[in-house]
Amino acid sequence: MKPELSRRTFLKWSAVVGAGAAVGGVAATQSGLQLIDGTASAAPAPGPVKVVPQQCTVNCGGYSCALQLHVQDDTIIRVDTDQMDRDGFPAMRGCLRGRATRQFVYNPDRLKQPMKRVGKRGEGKFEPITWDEAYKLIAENLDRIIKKYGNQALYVQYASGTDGTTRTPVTRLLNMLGGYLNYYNTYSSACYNWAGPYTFGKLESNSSDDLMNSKLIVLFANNSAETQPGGGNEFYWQLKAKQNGAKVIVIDPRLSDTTKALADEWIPIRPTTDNALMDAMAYVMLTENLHNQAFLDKYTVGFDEATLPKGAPANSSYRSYVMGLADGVKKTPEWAEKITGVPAATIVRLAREIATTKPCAMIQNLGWQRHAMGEQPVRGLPVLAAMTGNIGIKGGGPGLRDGRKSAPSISLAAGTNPVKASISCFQWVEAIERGTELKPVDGLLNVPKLDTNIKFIWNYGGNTMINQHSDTGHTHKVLSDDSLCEFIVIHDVMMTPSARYADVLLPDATSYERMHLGRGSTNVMGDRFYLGVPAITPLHDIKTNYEVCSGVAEKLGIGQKFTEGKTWEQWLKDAVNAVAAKTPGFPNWDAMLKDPIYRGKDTKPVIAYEKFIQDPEKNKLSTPSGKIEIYSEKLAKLAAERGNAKELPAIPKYVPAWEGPNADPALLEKYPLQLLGHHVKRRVHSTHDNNKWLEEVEPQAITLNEIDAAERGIKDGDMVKVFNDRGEIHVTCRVSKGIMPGVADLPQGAWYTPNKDGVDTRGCINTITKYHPTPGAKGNPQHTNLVQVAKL
Amino acid sequence: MADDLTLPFEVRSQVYRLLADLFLTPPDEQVLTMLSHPDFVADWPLGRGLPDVEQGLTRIANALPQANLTDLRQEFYHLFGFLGPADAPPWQSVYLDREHVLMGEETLKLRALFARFGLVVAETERQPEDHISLQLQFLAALAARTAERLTAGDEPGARTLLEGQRECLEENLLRWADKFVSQAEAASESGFYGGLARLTLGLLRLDLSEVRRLLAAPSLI
Repeated sequence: MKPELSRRTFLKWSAVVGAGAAVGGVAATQSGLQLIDGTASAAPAPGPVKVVPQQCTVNCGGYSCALQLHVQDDTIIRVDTDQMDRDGFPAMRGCLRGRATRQFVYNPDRLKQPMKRVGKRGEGKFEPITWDEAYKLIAENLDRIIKKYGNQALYVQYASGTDGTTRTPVTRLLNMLGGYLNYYNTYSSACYNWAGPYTFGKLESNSSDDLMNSKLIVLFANNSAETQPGGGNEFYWQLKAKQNGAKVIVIDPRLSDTTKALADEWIPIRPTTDNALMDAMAYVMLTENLHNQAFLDKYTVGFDEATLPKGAPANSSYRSYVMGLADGVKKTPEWAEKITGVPAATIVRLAREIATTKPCAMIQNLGWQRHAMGEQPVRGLPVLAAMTGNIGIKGGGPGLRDGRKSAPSISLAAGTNPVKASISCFQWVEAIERGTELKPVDGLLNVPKLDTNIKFIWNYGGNTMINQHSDTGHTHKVLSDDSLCEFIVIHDVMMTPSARYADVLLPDATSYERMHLGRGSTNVMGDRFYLGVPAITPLHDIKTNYEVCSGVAEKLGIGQKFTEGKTWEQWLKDAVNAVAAKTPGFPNWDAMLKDPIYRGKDTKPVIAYEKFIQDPEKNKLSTPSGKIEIYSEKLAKLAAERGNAKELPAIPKYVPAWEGPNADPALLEKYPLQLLGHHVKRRVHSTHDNNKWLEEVEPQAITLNEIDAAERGIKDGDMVKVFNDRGEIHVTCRVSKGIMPGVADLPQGAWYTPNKDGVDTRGCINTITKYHPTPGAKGNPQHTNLVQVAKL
Repeated sequence: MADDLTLPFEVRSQVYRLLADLFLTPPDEQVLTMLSHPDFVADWPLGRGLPDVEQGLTRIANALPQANLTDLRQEFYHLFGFLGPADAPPWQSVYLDREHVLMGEETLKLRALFARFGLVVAETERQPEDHISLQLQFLAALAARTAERLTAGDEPGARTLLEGQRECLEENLLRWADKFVSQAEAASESGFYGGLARLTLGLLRLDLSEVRRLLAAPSLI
């Protein structure tokens, strides 16, 4: 090698770079590489491979499927899953998402160190800070905002990116500081959990293994093959039942994977119109005398005029509504065909088949209640279950969601929140803008009014800060103004679109790098994965939620009170042992460390409301009347207070959506397509959107029916724009027969990626969704959208 | 005579250590002052006349007068995933491993290579072994040791070290450096880090041909 310069010139240059003295004779730079024991030794052999049982903790609503992580030299080298099928107890087998775990843990884009915002909020400019500075910033702002505005100004945002007990430290800390504004509902099930109890009181369902007793299974908005494809989830039992000879009919605007795998018949329907279909089926059953009048008389309230509560107006029963006694419109199959797009003859045939095949399991899931009038279908299907006498029997069911069996749950001590005020989790942007104007009629609970707008948000593991909330354009506008919400803490694993809005942004450990208890859901057969032990040393400069909250508590002078001197592991140990002490057969901490899966033993299916059906006098339901309330007096009273009885009737009805087939004709002309955002199997909500393996499985795209595509000159694979008055999205188009004409589908959860003109370039459906809380639950109607699609 | 033998290795060690620092640590005032010194580019000691090296140096020289420290730091964060996402990920496994993520077989391969020369990544350093900076540090360390061995007249020792450098360059860095450089150039708004990456690529290619030439020579000393 020839020198290209003299030593003199080199030394001159070395002096410029400022390290001349160190040149030569040093083995390595001081910063990164070090000599092993100061001597050059032979390469150490790779360590042994150990298999660490861990769980997939994404929020699919399934059961924390079991993963087996193969770990060598502190590195996950392979991801396997539980393969231990037992008779009647399928393995908790991970699906594509759990198996793509290395793509999550080792994603090069993970957040790597604590940082603070330096640019305009939402701009995505951050500077690294130390953990101590981060704790100090959070503590100072908490203290300042509590003093200035009071504790109602603090809000812990709805988030589902991590399991529940991992989230507890935030609420524990804020409770110790005087509390925070509560929320109720979830973005998943607002209308279901709000409306269902008006009919049944406590909600129950036949467990999914009972499907083995069904002759006919009718699925409404139920797509477990894509939402929860793993392990012993519902789809496993639906498939088993099908193999056992049950006939399966699926009602869904999309030809879903569940439909492809199971259905003897697919009945596509226009979104938001399911109640019209159900009303017309009731009409057929009534006019052909196929219904079980004795069941209705004995167990229900308000199907007939005779069982209406005292004081209910005349002709307010469900039968009167169906027969057109109140509004002069008979809910005939022909009436329903015009609304739903389902042919009248199909409706007649379906009604007859459901009424004459016993037992029949009619099962709903959550897609149809994330709609403008989402309360209605939730209460609508149980009416058909009652009319056909399928409630409380094997192979039937109450017309609610798929059911499970229970296993004990474990919780950590969060303390009590001194603040009682509560808003719907969907209303937080409104509570930033005009919280003090919200009233009980708007869904505000426990107080007549709020003292302050939201000024501080703590978001742990959530992407509702912008991505999963309706109308991203408006959310961006509100969040960009940091005089409204003054301080935002976000603690997450990835730079999600929400994370960009943080004032302090903290990198979190994945569940494979920290100790954690399982999600709060239970397996169909009672198997449940309880304990995750770290498989590897945390990467980067990351800290867990407990460490962060302890650090902030310390700065606020309540460190000891917050931790009680315990490590996180000790908290979990105490919680597990407390449950073990009072639950026979439940493993204690030491046993759980050896085998974190608690295996169910009960092979007997759960039959919902079985006792009530056996003896309705002795075993009353928890509704006001003790019966199945098809007419709910309580709901009638609430709607009268809110002044929205038309949108929130006492009996389930077809109520046209503000953006649906019966919307304003001028709007329909401008935006003729109904847009859905189904839960795609390559993501769980927005988790894994940046997972490249999963994107390969199912690239983000909008699906259009071939008729709609042809009208617009769109071919499969074309780039299109999807738009309405709220926003515009540019995305690839798939042209298909597998979707109802007039309906488009853009899977929810893609990461909002606006270009300089505010056009989303990734396919985030919330660019065009509307902020318009549902009439009852004040829930999110994110499947209710009218749009136009055009070739780019 | 000894000076002729060892100087090139001392130069390479110094240059690699500088590049390793620039790819690992966000720029500050001191670094900016150093880079802006008129002699920094004028007296650049290695690879002069090679197109990639000259192009890289020119871009650096052009970028620096306008460079604003705040923007340059943001560019550094976004390019190399210092805080979160990386436009030009600086880790070998992201390019070459079958899963294209961190901590793949490529990382473990480098861990083993470093260990063969008695080197391990410090616990305080939170980067995996396949980060470009750690590989440059490895090359710097081996170049410095080569100079020592040559001074001591230990030819077999020097050859072992040259073989280690060849392996790092040929079987590791140069299998992905071109992709890394293209991505860095595409996303480097100031041009500084794009220039730095281009310059580095030129030096790595030069170095591999020099190391190969020396290994083929009948005698080093």
